[in-house]
Amino acid sequence: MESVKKTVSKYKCNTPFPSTRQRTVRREQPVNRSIRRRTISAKDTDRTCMDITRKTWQIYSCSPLYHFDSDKSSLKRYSRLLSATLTAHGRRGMGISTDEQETGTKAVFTVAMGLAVLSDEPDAIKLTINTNEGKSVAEFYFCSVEAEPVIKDMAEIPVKRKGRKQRLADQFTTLPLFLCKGNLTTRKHVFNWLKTEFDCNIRKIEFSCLSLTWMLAMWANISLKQKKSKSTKISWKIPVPDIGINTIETSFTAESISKLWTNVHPSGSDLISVEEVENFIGGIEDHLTQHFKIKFQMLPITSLNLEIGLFHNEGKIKVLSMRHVHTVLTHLSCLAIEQLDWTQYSTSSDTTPTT
Amino acid sequence: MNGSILTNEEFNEQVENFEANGTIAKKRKAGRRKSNADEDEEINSLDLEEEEEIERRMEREIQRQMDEDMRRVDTEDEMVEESDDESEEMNDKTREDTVVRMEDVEEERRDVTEESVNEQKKEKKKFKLEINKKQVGKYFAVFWEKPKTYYWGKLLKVFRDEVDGKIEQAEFKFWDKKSTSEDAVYWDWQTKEDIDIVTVENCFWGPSTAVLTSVGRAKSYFGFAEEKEIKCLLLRWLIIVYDLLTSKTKLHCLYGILFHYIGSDILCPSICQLLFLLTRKNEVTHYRISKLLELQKRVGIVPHICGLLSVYRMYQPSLISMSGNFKTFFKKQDRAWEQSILRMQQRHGINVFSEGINPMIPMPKVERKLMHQPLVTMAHNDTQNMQPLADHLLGKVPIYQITSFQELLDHFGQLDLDCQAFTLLSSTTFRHLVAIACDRTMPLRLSFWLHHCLNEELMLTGGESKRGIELLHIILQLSDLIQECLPVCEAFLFRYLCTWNGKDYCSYILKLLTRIRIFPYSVLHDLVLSPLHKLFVFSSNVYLKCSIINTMTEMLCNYLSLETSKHEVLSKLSALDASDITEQFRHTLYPHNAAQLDPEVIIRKLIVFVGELCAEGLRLEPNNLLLIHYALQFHLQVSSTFEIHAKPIVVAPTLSLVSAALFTLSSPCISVLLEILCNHRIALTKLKEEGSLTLAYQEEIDLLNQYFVDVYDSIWRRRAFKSGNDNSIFYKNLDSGDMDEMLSHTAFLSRRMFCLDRHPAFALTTRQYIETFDLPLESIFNAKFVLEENYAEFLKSRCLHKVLNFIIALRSPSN
Repeated sequence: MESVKKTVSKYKCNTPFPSTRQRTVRREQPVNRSIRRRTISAKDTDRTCMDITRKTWQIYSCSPLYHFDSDKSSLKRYSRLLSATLTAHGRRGMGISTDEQETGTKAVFTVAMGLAVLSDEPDAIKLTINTNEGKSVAEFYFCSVEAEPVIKDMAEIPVKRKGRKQRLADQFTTLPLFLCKGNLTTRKHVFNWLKTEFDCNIRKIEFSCLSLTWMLAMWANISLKQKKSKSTKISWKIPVPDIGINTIETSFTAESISKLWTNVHPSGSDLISVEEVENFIGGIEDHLTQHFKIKFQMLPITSLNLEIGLFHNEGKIKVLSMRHVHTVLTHLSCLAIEQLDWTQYSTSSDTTPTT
Repeated sequence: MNGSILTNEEFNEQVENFEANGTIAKKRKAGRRKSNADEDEEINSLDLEEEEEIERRMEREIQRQMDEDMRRVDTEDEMVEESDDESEEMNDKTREDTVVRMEDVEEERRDVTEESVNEQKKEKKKFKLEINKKQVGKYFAVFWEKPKTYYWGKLLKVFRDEVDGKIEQAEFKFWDKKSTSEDAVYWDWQTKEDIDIVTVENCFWGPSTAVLTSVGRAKSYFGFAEEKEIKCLLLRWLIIVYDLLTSKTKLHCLYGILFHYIGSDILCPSICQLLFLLTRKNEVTHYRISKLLELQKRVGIVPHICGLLSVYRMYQPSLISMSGNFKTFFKKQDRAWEQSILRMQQRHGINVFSEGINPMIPMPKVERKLMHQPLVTMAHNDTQNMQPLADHLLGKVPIYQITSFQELLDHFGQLDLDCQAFTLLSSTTFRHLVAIACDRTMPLRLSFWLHHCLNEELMLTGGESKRGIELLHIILQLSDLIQECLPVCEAFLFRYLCTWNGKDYCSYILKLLTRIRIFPYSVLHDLVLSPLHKLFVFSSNVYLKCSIINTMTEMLCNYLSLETSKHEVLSKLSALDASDITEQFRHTLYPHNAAQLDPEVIIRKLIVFVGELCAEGLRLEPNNLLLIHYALQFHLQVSSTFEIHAKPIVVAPTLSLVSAALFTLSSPCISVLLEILCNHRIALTKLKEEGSLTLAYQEEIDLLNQYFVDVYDSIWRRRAFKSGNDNSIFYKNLDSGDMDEMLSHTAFLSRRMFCLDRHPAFALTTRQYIETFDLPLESIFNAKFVLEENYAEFLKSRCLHKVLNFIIALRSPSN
């Protein structure tokens, strides 16, 4: 296992996220169990999940939106403002009055029910951008799925807004995960608009090797059961240029993957630790190295093709199973939060601070 | 002009309309209806205007062709001469007018507009130039045949024909300067009496009025032009002197009138530029935006309208949206005017324009700029559209309405900082706002932004970048202002240090480190000290080593002077009532749970760590004076802890540092070393007097005592190398027998080797002293001079008197 440890340390130094020791796997759609969970209607959930599956999304993290309201009139106003902005971008130098209901790009904000899981979580927002002819240019989902709050220390500080006393945290709407699809320039304009209007920052999420390894360990052995299990594919990048080969694709049958996983993670609980993940990928790499005489420990993983979805290291995802939309989005929300939260850096020291 | 055919009443009414439009938003709808009516009129008048314009241009074109031959002869020489004269003359004339009084300008403007109304009426009636008696005192343009020249002349008298009573000749007082150009802008004149009688046929333009002379007084260049051009020139002049005006309030009163003229093709560019400079948020109205948009639809996308629109957009993003990429909105014209104004300012030693007059106004680059001016309010939060009453009741005052410090103080509690938090970092004034603002969301939003930017600019890109430097610079300025490091920056530092190469942004990173809060020592050690230690030992030159030690000195200083007291207050507060977090804001921008730390223990551990770091550095860079200096400075800071900050912290310097400093060739080092020892001695004595000297100090006391003995022996008592003394630390282990033998024949000298008068570091001082005071040579041998008053003075003049302080302290009977 010596080599495994080395490998993992290689992963660690590139990780954009602080080292997380443990994660919980969520297998199915959330069940209404704890008090913090809200009751979700199955119809809404199905509609939204259906919309999200089988599309390739680029994912971003976004810091809490300042003074964002999700009531109907506000969303309408945002739609109007954004439409005008986008139309103006289409016609360079031409002023566009926000009042005139003119022809041009149309942006529509709607509430997407069924994605938010916790009761103190804001509902997800869907934004669609259509051209004059009604053709869809871009689609966005702003969501928070079972995410831990980012604003912690100062959350309880009372502030006044519109004459009412509020908590500081209430001034912000935390929708840390953005799913985006469609035209890149439109995306840029939309992001710029969001940044100026809601004082937020948007950053692309990219998956490091460790991140992809986590996903592999968590989701590789989830099978959909309805049909014959698909094999798990992993792509490895060759970091040396000009040798006539860029990537190596490897494929494993579902049985061998689950066999390896049960060996590594004998307890079968939903809580898995980083050591188990390290052992798991170490096992796969050792196996491949033995057969192909290529040091797979030194190759970074670029993409995963699992039964529940596709995950690319540039932050592109595609969920294939409707039942696992929440599984994936929960994890991605968690990653987005990790990208936003700075407080854990100072406490993530190996030695526990003396108190 | 569009408006010029209106009668005076109509005109006044219109002005009122416009002003009402600018100030009272509620009347907007009514105003709009009215102005629509006006607008129709205008469109009609515009057509007439244009016809006129075309006719006149044709006339001029014919004339130009006729005169072309003439001009070829003498154009060039004349022009050169003229331009020189012009500038000089202008300088003289504008001298009194450097401080422009707005009243004058405004009156003139009113004159211009009103009289233009009258004159235009006349012109409407009769196109052909007619001179009558009433026009005496007005100005006419006159031309001479052979050679063809043009003059301005003031009508003095008219002469009627005796037969039919027609006026055929007139007496003119001329501005005696001819021009070869038919363009009135380039005509010029001198104040020399030249009266002549000319036939009426030779007058081709006029009458112009006294308005022109008053304009001319301020700016003789204008010459006598037709109405529209005068307006245009006046506008251009206003643009030029805009920055010189002491008060713009009266100019703002004219906003409505100025905006009224925007439909004119000639005036539009200048109007747009002037309004671009003039516009304030409350002057951007629904009506004006729609008017401007209509105009844009009519004339197409032209830079000057886009310029004005962009200002409107900036103030009212909720009403208008636009984008585009123009290099500049407004062309730079009238360079000659600017030059002459500048020349005149230089002559009088005034410099109002810092970067030239009206530098070309570039299109704001939004995307790659780190931050911009905080004028942009969030569109959706706009007070004009959104619950204006509620906000009004709350007494929220938007930041752009604040104009003076007093206003700031008055509305401090209600300041509305609804723009993007980071834009407030762009200027010092706004940074102060950030530091003291009541808006509690501000620090939080700022943190998110900083976290994002620091990661984007520094973590993800290797090497230094301009934006990175700018960012760190701003962070440093902010943390200097609020005297604490932002938690988000600390978190970033902790992460950055792990992969830092010791080179990128070195000075900034080290400076930021000096500001960090007190952390448990284990955190401090793991996340800050050990990465620094690695750099210090493995991959750094002596300069980085010195900077690191210097950083540690400043960090210690910060801990002692600011952080410990802040920590005490915060922990007291949190112990009192955990929920009352607002109280904590008085002491820190980022309240945090003051954990149960003992700052003194942490500081002591820090000092020990740095002491060891210094020792390691001295091992790696033997006898490096720079390093010794920085190490001594650190320990000097440590030794003065008790004196300055009343913290009972006594940590003696390490043996390697003391020996390196004592036997160095640099006298200042020795002086500082002795000062350190002296300070420790004072601190310990005082602690003893207070009775708070516990056993914990015993180790330090023993070590310090050994230093005292050895230093005193070497420097004063002529007992260097004397072994056998248990209290000695340097000479203790020397084998006395061998030593004595070795030093036997030069024993006398060797033992005195490190005495004050002969110490290698002080040898030069001694020699200089002897030379200065012309002492006999024997005195070098007996070295009695070291006791003299003069010697003390001499050392003092070289900042080495601490040495004597040490000796005096040890010799004093109390010891």
